[in-house]
Amino acid sequence: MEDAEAIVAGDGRWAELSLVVERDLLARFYRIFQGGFLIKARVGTGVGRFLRERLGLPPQYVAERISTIFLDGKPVDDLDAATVTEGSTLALSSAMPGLVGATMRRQGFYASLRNTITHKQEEWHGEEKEGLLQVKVFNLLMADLGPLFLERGIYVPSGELELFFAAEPDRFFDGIKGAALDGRSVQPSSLRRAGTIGGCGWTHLRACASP
Amino acid sequence: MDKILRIDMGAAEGPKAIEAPIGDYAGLGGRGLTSAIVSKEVPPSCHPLSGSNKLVIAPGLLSGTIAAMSGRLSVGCKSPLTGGIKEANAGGEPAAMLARLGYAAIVLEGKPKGDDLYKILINKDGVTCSIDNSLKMLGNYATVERMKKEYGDNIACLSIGPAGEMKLAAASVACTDTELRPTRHAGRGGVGAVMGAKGVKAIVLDDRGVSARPPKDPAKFGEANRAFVEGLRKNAVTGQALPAYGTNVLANILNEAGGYPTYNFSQGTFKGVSRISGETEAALETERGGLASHACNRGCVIRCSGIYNDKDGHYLSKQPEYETVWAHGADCGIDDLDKIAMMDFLDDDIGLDTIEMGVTIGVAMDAGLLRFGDADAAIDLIKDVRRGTPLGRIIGSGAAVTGKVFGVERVPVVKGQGMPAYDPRAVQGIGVTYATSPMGADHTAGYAVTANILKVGGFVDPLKGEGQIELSRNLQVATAAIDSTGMCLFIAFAILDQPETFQALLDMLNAFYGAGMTAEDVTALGKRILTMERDFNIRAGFSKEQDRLPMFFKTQPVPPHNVTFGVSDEELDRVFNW
Repeated sequence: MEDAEAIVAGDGRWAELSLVVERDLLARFYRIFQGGFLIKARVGTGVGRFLRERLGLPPQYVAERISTIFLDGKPVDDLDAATVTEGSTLALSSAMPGLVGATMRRQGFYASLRNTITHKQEEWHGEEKEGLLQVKVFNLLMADLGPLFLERGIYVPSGELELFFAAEPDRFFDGIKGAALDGRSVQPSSLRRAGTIGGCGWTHLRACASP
Repeated sequence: MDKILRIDMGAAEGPKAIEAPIGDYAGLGGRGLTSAIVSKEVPPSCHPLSGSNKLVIAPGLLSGTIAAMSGRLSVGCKSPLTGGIKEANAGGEPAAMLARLGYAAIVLEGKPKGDDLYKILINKDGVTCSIDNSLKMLGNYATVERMKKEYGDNIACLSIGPAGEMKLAAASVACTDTELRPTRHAGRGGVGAVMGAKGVKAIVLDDRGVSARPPKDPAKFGEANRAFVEGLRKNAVTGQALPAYGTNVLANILNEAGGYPTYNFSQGTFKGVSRISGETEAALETERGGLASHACNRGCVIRCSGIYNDKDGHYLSKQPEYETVWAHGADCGIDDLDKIAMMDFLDDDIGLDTIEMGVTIGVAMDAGLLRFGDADAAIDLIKDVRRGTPLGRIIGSGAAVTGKVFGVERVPVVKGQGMPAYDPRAVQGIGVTYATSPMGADHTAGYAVTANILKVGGFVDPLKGEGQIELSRNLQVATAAIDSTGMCLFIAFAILDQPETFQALLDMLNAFYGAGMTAEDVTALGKRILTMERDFNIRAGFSKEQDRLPMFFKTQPVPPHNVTFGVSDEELDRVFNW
């Protein structure tokens, strides 16, 4: 990941964009949620612990709602045996339809149907440290977790973010109650213009719901 | 539903309709009935387009009642695509209407001598077959509009488009939905070609004056139905994910797993997936004034369907399903939902199986006929099918024929039928079902993920890590049984998690028929159906060599996991070991 070390080290080679938006507009970021974004977190721990302790998700939510988890493209059954490390891709989904949806389910009855791609137990000998990982959030979890990640802050390729803003309709920008780019207040509609976000490869985006 | 309507389309004086008691076929419905009739009455060696083949159209055991989710229709025959037995299944309104009219099945037999085209009207007063050559080569949408003008809005239609009239092996039978649009299709295996060979363009059902089928024990039936509906509503899959996003919610999941067949099964992930995912599709539909949640028939409480409008807010197609979006999308390298929706509309109107069409176009792209990702060229190719050009007829004959004509090695078919949207190298258990199902490569043949707790379809010890073979067997058995009830297979996801919901289904069947069916009986029914189907295929000349995947799945690893299909031939031969 380009500039990953710089991001982790706190070396300011990214744009900082903060938004205050109407609550129902947070869902508009669905393309970013499902396409993936980076977060900075303490890595080198099991997926279960990562979700509960690093992301602060309630254990019951993790157990019952996040029914399908992929780590680096492999379905995870044992949350303690799969370790989130620097550069991991963690994808989160609710329970899915279809035989294949049931097959991908964590500890699902039909898990053996996908045994060649299942995440295999590993021994992790590394240490916990600050790192970057990619997160993808799909389907029903987008509404639950998307706002959480936006409030926490996510890193998105600036080009992708520009394309996102360019495609949004007027009412999206009408719903932005405040916008600040690199500490300076900006007109929300200016985000539609190419080049506004600047020449950095990545943008650290934070968005929270207006009261 | 105690009678069968037999229509001899080849009778000397013109089509002859006879009602006969259900007789020896009593107790069967849906796929159970279509497969029983085809396996008993169709000579396995006959030409599928000949008068010896029969097209059997059967609602399920609970169709036409007030049972939720009971609107599925089975269409069976000897398949022009596979050469074996076929049951294709569709939602929409026809199943309920046909059942309420008292018919367990319509059997189209024989073949007319000339090239006249017939429409058939069935209502409480009887059956009328009449010639209507003005319908020739009309698309399904125009055909249905004509039937509405002629018979009113309180009808349901089954029809074929130009593809069926041309008897192309990828031709479907269209069923109308709650808006009386021909959007639900008995798609697989060329059943539309058989209807075309019988000279039937449209079957119009009008159930005015008839009521829902009454159960033997109305109180128990109502109670079971309520428990059943409650189970469906409270389950995360049937109560939330499917209504919110439809079946295309699977796109991101399969892609993440590396099992989303891309560029004609040459890789397992597609860069453009987020542009065509269910999440994106639902958001777009809602933005444009369409519907992200919609029922294809009046008894459906899951509502996984939708309405897809164009950017100006006008109707374009029903919400393209997972399989359609994949087939015309990732498999062809196309990431434009509007173009995919246009192809879906064309498939529906021309009367083509969207899976077969997408796979075929993917093979055509691999042949260099058009570039991967060229949506406009793909649309033109589908229009060529309608035009009946030589190339169009090749494409409309499916992936196997297209691959042969253009010398392509990577042709993803089993028993001649195009493979659906799960790469069997990444999800090996699906590959077992693809290989061994009597239907050919069919993702819904082993789909009913029933509760192991009730041992439906058999028992697999989850602690032993038993795998592909046993699970595929159990899934195929359970699916064959559920396909006989008229129930939508999506009920199975709630049943997987909630044994009480499966019990509610059994209770409904028992309360309706005054029977005492158990899970063991369901298993026995499923095995009986599969035995009939396999027997037919054997008599049609099939051997175990047809229960195999194309060799490239064993020799070409699929990125990103770089796995091949590793289930041995000997293991595949153990699937039906009862």
